[in-house]
Amino acid sequence: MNTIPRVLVVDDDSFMRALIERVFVDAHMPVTTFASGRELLAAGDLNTPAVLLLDVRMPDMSGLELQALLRERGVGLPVVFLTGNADIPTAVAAMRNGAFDFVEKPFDKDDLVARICRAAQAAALAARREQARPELARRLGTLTTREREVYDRMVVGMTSKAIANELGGSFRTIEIHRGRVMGKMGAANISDLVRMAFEADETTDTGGPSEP
Amino acid sequence: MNSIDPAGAPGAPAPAQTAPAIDVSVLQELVGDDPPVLRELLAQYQDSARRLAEELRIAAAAGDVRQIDAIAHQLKSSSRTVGATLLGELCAELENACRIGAWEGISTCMVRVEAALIAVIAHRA
Repeated sequence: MNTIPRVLVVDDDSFMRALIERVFVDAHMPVTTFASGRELLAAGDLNTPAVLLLDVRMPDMSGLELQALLRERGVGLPVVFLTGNADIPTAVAAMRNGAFDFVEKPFDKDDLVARICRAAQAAALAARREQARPELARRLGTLTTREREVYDRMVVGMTSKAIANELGGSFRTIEIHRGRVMGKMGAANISDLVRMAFEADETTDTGGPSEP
Repeated sequence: MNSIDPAGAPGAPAPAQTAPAIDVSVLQELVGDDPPVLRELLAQYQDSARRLAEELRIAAAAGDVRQIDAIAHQLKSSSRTVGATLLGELCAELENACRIGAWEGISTCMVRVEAALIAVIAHRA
């Protein structure tokens, strides 16, 4: 989670590349720059975690075209776009296509670094959830129907008494089910279980920033 | 003072420049005030500006408005970033002129951009 993110920059302007490189070097973040999408695809390491910082407007292959191509190739690295102020509509379209964020030029150094870090953290979290999901699904599959009913109510914070009232069992039976749910799920405590429910939930949003 | 000549006569004088072509404090804000670093980045910017100036001339000679628009956009971004504020603003005007599409407006802006480009390229830190 807190590992320093690697940044892959694609910008056709050599000055912007040098400047952006300098900003990340100053922030002690590993950075590699590329003059075009083609160069990134040919020489960039796209198999280990990194954040892609792409200029929207580039000749030959625009940032959006590159984003689409990366998706096609199954590259799941988070993308942040660099845009001029006239390109905001394009940037919004890019976000809809799964970009994590966009940064307006001329950019603020701290803001740029913070947005890249946020993109890296969100991607790491999403990857961790993705990894944990099959195992959590397997454990959920071992619950009996009754245990599943109890589990569904535990993870929204209901007490055994409330669960007993709703499902119509005795407090003592519900307590026994609770214990089995915790054991089968491998949860140390209730907050552990709630976290698992969150991570197992396939509808959980893992894209975009949660705040502007 | 320097109202734009409605005829857009080529060779119209660029606005008098009292401020330096590049306000280095803008770049300092981004990368700190290490002189070798600043010199290096300024040189990079000037190289890129020189190249874009050449491309701009070629595009203008070919009457390629889309290309002029693209170059103006790129030059605007890097100029604002480096603190070449006047050139940045003139590039924004050139972009707008390209969007309107009237050649007269475009060439008026081009003359001003060219003059600002010369000042920026000649700037010494």
